[in-house]
Amino acid sequence: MTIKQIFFLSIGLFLILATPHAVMSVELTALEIIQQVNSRDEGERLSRDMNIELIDRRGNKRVQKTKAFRQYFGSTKKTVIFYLSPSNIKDTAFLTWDFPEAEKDDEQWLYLPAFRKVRRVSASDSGDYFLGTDFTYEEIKKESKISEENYTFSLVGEETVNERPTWVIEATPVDDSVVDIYGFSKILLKVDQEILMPRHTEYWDESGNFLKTVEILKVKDIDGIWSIEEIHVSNDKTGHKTIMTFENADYQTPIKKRLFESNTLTRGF
Amino acid sequence: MLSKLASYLFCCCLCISSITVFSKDLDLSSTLVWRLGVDRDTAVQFNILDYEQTASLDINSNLTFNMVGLLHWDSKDKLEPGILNREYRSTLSRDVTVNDDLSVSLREFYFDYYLGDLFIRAGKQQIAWGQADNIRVLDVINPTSFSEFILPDIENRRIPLWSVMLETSIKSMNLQAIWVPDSSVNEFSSGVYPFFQNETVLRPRSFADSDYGFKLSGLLGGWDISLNYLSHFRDTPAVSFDPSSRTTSLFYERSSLIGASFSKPIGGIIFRGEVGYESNKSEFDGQSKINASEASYLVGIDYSGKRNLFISAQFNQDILFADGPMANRKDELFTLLVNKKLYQESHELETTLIYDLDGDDYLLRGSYKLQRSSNRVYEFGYNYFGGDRNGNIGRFSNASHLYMSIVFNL
Repeated sequence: MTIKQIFFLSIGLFLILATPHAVMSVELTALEIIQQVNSRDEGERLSRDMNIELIDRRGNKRVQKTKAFRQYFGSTKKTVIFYLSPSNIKDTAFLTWDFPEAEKDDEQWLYLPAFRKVRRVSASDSGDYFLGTDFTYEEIKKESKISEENYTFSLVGEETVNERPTWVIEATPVDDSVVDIYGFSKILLKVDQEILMPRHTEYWDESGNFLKTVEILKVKDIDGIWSIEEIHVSNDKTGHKTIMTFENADYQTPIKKRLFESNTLTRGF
Repeated sequence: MLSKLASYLFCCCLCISSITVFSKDLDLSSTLVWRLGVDRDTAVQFNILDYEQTASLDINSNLTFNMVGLLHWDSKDKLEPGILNREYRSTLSRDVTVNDDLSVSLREFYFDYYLGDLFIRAGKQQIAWGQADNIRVLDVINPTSFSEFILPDIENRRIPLWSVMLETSIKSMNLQAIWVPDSSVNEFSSGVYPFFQNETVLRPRSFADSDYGFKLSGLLGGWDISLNYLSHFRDTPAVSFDPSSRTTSLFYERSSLIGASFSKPIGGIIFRGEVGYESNKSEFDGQSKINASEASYLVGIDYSGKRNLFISAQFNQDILFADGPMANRKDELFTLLVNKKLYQESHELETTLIYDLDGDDYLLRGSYKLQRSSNRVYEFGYNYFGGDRNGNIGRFSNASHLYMSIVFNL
C-alpha cells in the first residue's frame, strides 16, 4: 500500500469515526439503544410544577395542578407529588420509593386530607392508571424509560417524527406475567436519535388491540438535561386524553429530605 | 349576634391582611357544598349549604400560616334541632351561631414553623392517629360531633382543637409530642341523643386539664409502625349515680391510652391495624358507677384489584375489664367498603357497611359520584339504618334517607 493510499484511507476512517450517528445507526442493537435511553441523565434531583389536563371523549376537561419532587438516595429513586388544585383534592400527596432491585417491591403511600391519615398503597398496581390519568403507575415512575428486564426489544427501522430522526423499536413482554401486571402486549417506541427519548410511543392492550399513543411534544435542555415540557396521551379505547405540562423544572436547588418521608406527607411542602 | 359575627369576620380579615403584607405567597381556595336529603316519606330531612374558605400563607421559608373557615346553613335543622349546647366546646372553639340555621366557625387556624429539624404546628388543628377508617381506637385526640350521628365524613365530624404539635426525626424514626390545652369534648345533639338534653355538661378545664401525648413512628423492615401514649380526658362522659338524691350526673375522667399501629403491603393487600388500652373507662350499670379499663383493637385489610376496584374490611373489638356483670364485655364492629372508579376516575361508585355485631344493627351507605369538570362534583346516595331498632345504629331507622349533593370548587 502506497503512502498516498494510506493517507486517503486514514482520511476516510477519520470521516467515518467523526460521524457518531452514522456509526451508531449501523452498530447499535435495539437493546443497546434502550440501555442508552435508560442511562439518559435525569439529574440527581428535580422539582417542577406539573399540570394535568384530563379530557373525556365529550371534551369535558378536568385540570389538576401539582408540585412534584424527585431525588435519588443512592440508587433508590424517591418521588413525591402534592396536589394543589382543585380544592376537593388539594393537599392530597403521593409518595413512592423505587428500589433498583427488581425483586424488591416499591414502597408507596397516599395522603388523603379527608382522613388526615397517610395510607399505604400496594405497589402491585403498577399496571393501573395513575390517579385518573391515562398513564400507568409504572409509566409515571419510569418517566419515558422502559424496563429492560420485562421486555425483549427489536429494531424495526428508522422514522422521522416531528422532523426528528428516530429509531423504531418494538418491545414485547418476556412472559405472560408481564402482560398481566403492566397491561401491554406490545409497545412501539420511536426513540429520538439525538436526545435518546421516545418521542412517540404506541401501546397495545392485553388482547392485542391498539390501546393508546404517548407523544412527547416539547422537550427543553435545562442545565444540560433533556426535560419534557409537554406530553400527550390519547387512549383509543376510551377516547380519553391526558395532557401533562411541566414548568419551572429545577435540577439545582437542594430538596429537603423530609419531603420524601411518609411521616411528613401531612405537612405538605 | 350579628355584631359579634361581624367582629369575628373583621378580625379574621385583619389578621390575614396584615400577614399578607409580609408573606411571599398567598394561596386561597374555597368550596361550596349543597346537600339535600329526603326520607322514606319523601319529606326533606336536611337542606344544607356549607361554604369553606381555605387560606395558606408562606410567610417565609420556615413559617406558614393556614386557616379554614366554614359557613354552615341548614334550613331544616332536623338532625341538629336548636342550637347545640355549646358547653361541649371550650370558649375559644365555639362556632358563632347566628340563629338556629346558620353558624360560622373557624375550623382551623395554625402556624407551621421549622426550627432546624424541629417542626412545630401551633393553633387550632386536627391531629389524627392510627390506621383505622371511621373507627376510633387511637384517633381520640380530637373529639367528634355527633350532631348528625356518624353521617358526615370523619374530617367534618372531628372537632379541631387549639393545640401544639412538635415533630422531629430520631435517626429513621419520627417523634411527635402533642399538648392540647383545649378541653372541648364530644358533641351530642339533644335531637340525636335525648339523654343529654337535661344533663349538665361539666367539661374538663382548659389548660389545667390539658391532654398530652407522644408518638414514635417509622418504617421498620417494610412495616409502618407507631407507638402511642396519650394522657387525656376521655371525650365521652361517664355516668355516676347519687343514691341519696337518686340522680345521675355526667362527668369526664382522665385516662392513659397506650397503643400501637402497623401497616404493611403483602402482595396486593395492605394489612393494617391498631391496638389501644385505656386505663380508665368507667361504666354505669343502672345502679352505680363501675370502675373499668378497656382494650381495643382493629385489624383491617385493603385490597386494590385491577381496574380501580378497592375493597376494604375492618374488624374492631373493645374488651372491657371490670368486675361484676360487665366483666369482659365485648363490643364488636365490622365494616366493609367497596369502591370502584370508572372512566379515568370521573365516575365513582362506593358502598359501605358498618355492622354492629352485638346490637345486630347496621348502617348501609351507597353513593355515586360524577366529576366531569374541575369545579363540580355531583353525588347521589343513600344512608340506610337497619337491624335491631334498639341498637346504637338501628334506632335511627327513621333517619334513613336518600341524598344528593353538589360540590363547587371555586
